[in-house]
Amino acid sequence: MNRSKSDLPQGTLDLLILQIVALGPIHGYGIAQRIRQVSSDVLCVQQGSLYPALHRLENRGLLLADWKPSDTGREAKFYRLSTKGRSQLKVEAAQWEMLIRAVGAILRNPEGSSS
Amino acid sequence: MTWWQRVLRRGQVEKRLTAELRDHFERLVADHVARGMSPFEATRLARLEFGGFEHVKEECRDALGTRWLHDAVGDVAYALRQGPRAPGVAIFSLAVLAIGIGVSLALFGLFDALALRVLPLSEPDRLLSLQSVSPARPGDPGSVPTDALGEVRRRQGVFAAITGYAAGGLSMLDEGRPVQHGVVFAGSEYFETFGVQPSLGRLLGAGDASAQVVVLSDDFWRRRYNRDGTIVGQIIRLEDKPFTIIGVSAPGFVGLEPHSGVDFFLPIAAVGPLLSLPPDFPVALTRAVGRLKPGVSVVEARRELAVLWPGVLAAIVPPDSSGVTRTEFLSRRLEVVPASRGFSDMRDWYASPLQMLAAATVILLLVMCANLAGLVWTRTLGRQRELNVRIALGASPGRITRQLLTETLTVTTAGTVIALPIAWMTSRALVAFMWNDPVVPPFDITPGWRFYVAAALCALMTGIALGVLPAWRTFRAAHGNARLAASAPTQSTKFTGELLVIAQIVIAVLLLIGQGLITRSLLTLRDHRAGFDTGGIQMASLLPRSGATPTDVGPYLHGLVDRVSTVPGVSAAALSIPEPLMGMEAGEERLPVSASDGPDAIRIDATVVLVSPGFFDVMGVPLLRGRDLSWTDSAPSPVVALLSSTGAHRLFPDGDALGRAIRVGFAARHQRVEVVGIVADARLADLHTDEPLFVFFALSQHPNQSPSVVLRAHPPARTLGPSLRTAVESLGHDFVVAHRTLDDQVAISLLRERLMALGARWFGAMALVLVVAGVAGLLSQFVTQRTREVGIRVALGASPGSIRTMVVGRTLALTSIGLAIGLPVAVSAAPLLTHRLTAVSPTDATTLLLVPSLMLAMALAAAWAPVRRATRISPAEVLKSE
Repeated sequence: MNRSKSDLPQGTLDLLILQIVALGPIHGYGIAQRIRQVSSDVLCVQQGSLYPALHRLENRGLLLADWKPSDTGREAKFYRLSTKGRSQLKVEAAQWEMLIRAVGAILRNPEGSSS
Repeated sequence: MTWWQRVLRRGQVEKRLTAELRDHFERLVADHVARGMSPFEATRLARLEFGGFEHVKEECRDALGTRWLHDAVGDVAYALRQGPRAPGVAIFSLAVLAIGIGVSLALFGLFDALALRVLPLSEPDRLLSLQSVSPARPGDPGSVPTDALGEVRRRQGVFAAITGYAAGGLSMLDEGRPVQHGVVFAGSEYFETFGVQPSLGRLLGAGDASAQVVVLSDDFWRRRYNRDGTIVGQIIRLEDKPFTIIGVSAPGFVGLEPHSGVDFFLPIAAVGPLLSLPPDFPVALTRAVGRLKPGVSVVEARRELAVLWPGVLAAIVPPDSSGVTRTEFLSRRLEVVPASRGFSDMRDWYASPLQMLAAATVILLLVMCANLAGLVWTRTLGRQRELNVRIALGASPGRITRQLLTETLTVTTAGTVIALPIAWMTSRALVAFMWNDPVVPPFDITPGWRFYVAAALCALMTGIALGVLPAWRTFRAAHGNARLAASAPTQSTKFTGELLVIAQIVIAVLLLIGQGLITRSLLTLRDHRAGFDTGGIQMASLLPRSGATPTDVGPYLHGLVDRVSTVPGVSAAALSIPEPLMGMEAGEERLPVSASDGPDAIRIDATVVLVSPGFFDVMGVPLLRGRDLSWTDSAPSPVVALLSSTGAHRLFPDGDALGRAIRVGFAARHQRVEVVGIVADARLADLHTDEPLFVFFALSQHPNQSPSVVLRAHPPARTLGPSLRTAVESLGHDFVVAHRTLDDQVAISLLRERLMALGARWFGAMALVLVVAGVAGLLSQFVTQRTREVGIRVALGASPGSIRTMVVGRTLALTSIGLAIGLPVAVSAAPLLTHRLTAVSPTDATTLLLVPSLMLAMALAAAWAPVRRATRISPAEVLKSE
């Protein structure tokens, strides 16, 4: 039932979230900002897909969440990576690297490699 | 938070979700303001960027993984609120479900207790029973001879332990009266084979083979001794002989026959002295049973035993046998069968009626489902507006379907919960009805896990069966076909109700025809089958007093008859072995009988009954020719016999049997027996017998203590009991252990038929009630839909008669279609039933005539209220409501 509204390839959002959360506890708004800033405004994550994704990752036990006072003075929900999330990040990052390399190889050599 | 915390603390989850999204939104606004926008402009832009607040929340709830549960709880709550809105419908549905499922579960519980449970032993799957099958009677496996078991034990390598036992009964005096007890005479390694530990003391061991020792069953220890721990070492008298109690067996353990009610385990060597048998009398084993060694499969065991079996036979074949006897002996096969569920006469005896009742239950459940499905269907059509609103508000088709199914599942679950006590009471009542053994206590019918699984399955299956039609229609409607959803019921949907009612009629016809055939069979067996009038006859079973064998049995029996005849109220008395109408329970003995002269004489299998003079007068069976037996036919004089009329005709088709000689069985003195009389046909041993083929011998020529007494008497059995008992027991040789009327005995011998008839009667009645309700409901809906049309017709001058014809015509049409389908199906299925019944043909005219008439009458009765309503529709009110 999750209709993805981001222009990100399927599954990429989870990887981005895990990578950003890995840097330290951060709230949802911060994650969205960080993705936008780091990608120089290329990647824009809609809230409509960010929060379901966060809750799904939390439900799968990859993220942990704590309610802590934040800069605004209100309590905010800060996400951090669980041990399971950390290993999942490694796996997904490696898969992503592999995919990039494979796609890149095909793009650089349109006639196909010698095989 | 874990999943469970999220399920249970739903309010907090919601609050935090809102807080998180609100935090995000406010940061977004703050950022925009920081970039120089006005607060108003910033809020507007943030709203645009953020999208639908509620929508995001919904998706987050989906991601939490607790959604379905909360939805289901909501649906169940909604379903429960539906009940009070239409209390009549709710009560009817619950009652139908509770009774239907209750009866089904009761039968299943009984079946479970009787046939499905394994013996309460460790690794019962490793137990195998050995039987030997004679080539002459392939369908009737016998026990393995004792010496064969010894040979098998010596040669085999697949069993860790192997044993044999003989099941039997004996009496123990309790306050001066004999009480019958079930006994296992255990061979060596008996308890090792079953792997049973003692509850108290020790079990029979190798050193006990010829000792006067006894092990009590745990149940008997509890019943009789209230678990007295000091019982070991005490001495009890069985058949008036002393036995030392050495221990109590494990709880629940009664050997290989779970429904036989064993109280004592004795060494097999105790049989001879106990029953005063001659020293070399061979004791036949009831069964041989072995426990497989670990790692040995059943297939391997079968293979090894098949290989060694011929050697076993060759080793034990009697050396003096020759010819056919020897070949027959050597060609016996060994059959190895799994013994994990034990063996039960009770199970075999009731297998057929229980199967038929189970089939009837399934049919009844189908009627019930068709009926309630019709009800649910009508209700869903009535709720179409509500469902349309939900769909319009964005409920997904799947969600609506799930809600409808949850509603029917809630109802069926509630029905099943109410059904549980009904099931329990019904199976108790059934067991009490079926149980007819004064010796053995009824078996354990405490529901096991299978019972609860079956209950859950009942709730689930009926719930789905009831909900699937409306759910499917709604699903289709919601799936883009808005016009179907909005429209009034179309032609195709209207037929659904009719089809469901026709299905009910068809199935009910099947049940009613079955009921009719079963009832006919029972009535014929009870009233017209015996060949004599069972009224006014009583019978008493005798049990020998231990150590009080009369020195001369013949005169004792004569004296017994004389003594009983003088009891006030008794007009005539006689003796017989076996008891009349005891049928297979008494081990009715059939022997080959043929004419003595002529080598190619006709041979029949006839039942041999030993009777005293006057027996036929007491039973009311006329003597057709010749003379009755007489006390002067005594042991030294030549053996004489009487034949039943059919028996005489079969043996001597072309001549007179009177005065001819017949050969009965194999005993030397029965090779030339003179036929001195012929009596009318009567089914004296078993009402189910096809042909009454009987040979009657004089009890005075075959002296046998403790025959049964039959007598004609006016006082009821209860009043006569004490004086009869005093009369018999004053002679000092026998006890009276059971005394009842022959009509009671008829009822007992027809227990299986009565059980079936009872079930069929209930099922038939319930099916009729359901059909009437179904027809009435459908017609009432029909009238409601046509209210406007009827009003206009009446306004245009239609008479009440024509309106009545309209509704009644519809009833007749439905019923006729149902009968037209149901009757041929029933007639073609009837032989399945009647081949298990006695004395009824599958095309029994009465049944085939009565059932359709009854069905039509009931349908018309069901039409009464709708017809009344239709003829009272007033045109003015119809117009007002427009």
